[in-house]
Amino acid sequence: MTVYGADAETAVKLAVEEMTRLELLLSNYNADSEISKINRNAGGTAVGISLETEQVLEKALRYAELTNGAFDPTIGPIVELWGIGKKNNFVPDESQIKAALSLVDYRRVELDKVKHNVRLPLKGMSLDVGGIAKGFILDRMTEILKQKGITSALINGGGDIRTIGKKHDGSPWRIGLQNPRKTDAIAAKISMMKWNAVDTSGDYQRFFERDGMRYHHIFDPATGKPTQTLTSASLIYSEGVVDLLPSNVLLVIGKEKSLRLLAKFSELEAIFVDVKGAISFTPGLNGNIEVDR
Amino acid sequence: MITLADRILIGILVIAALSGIIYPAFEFRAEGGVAQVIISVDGKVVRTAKLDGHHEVIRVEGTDGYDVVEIFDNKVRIVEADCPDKLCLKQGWIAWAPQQLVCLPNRVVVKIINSLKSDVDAVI
Repeated sequence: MTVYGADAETAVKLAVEEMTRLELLLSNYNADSEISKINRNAGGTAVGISLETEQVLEKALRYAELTNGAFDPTIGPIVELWGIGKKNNFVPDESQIKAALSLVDYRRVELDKVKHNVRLPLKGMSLDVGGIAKGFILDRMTEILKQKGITSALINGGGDIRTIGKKHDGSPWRIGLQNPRKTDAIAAKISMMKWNAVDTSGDYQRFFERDGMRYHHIFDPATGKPTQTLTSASLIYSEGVVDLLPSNVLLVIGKEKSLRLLAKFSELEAIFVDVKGAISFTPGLNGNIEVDR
Repeated sequence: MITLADRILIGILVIAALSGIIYPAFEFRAEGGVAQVIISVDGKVVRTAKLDGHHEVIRVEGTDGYDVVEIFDNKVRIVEADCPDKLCLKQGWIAWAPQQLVCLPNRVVVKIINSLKSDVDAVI
């Protein structure tokens, strides 16, 4: 996090406190989080949730509907089954995948916005909102920094970026997009002239390789397996955009379907890196992107 | 597992360790500065090294184990570690400021604070 402004120290401290607070609500890695509680109660009673968790779940279910389930916040059983990074290169068999997939269906989530609670009706169902919680948290941190008078900042959440204003020398923030297959190379550089958010999903962040196949942490809810379409996809946009998508859904549906979907989201720009390393982007980025060809 | 909180916290720790203070924000890349990498353990800088094309292998004692950092051809990677998940090894070579390698179990961060060809403020 790079922050400029009067009393930047206080602003950073408050933003980090907010990050910690929200992560305690939303993380799958924390057994005491609200998400973990909901998952533990699957098949049982509804769990009361905070306003923030409700907002994230509402957003998640909206994305699921918009993408016909290509994004599915109930992907938890598949994430658990594969355990990428935790299970020593484990590849489940088809019957195990089928069993886990039978528990993946966002339409079964019972979110009660009046009583502010949520219930997963089947034992074994579980939520994983990691794909969007990060952006949600970064947005809140950005808000806090702004409220505290910060006029220039960059927050790097590892894949997702938020910026405030321009750099202290007046030039726009520039974001480098790592080459998915050559970690010491940059695939593209984006000048944040018109935008202040970049969300990136890639198959290079958490993965293992076995028998020449790359198994990574972004799953297709239709197959229960890691996606095979793109190595990286980024969405570039400005805060306050009404209609948004999670970037990992672009890896699920691939470039062509993504472009058709993005046609409905005029304020979203996108960059794709395919499995052969070819880089392409939406026309709105012209003039503000340099691509390493 | 590296969570968002870990990543951001590490970033802040590195900034704080380097600058001594968070305000004014630390500017990672001085114009025309020497390309270099800093290695920190639990937020404290334990080593700096130039990225000047030389080859060097550095053993770093982390909080829970060790990491071996290799510098070669103006780039750097973690080449060996006794951490359980080995995610740090999979991060491969990095060459661009402000890219960083993180071995969370051992609290080891290897960050490029200046590189000859860097003209970006973050790498994702």
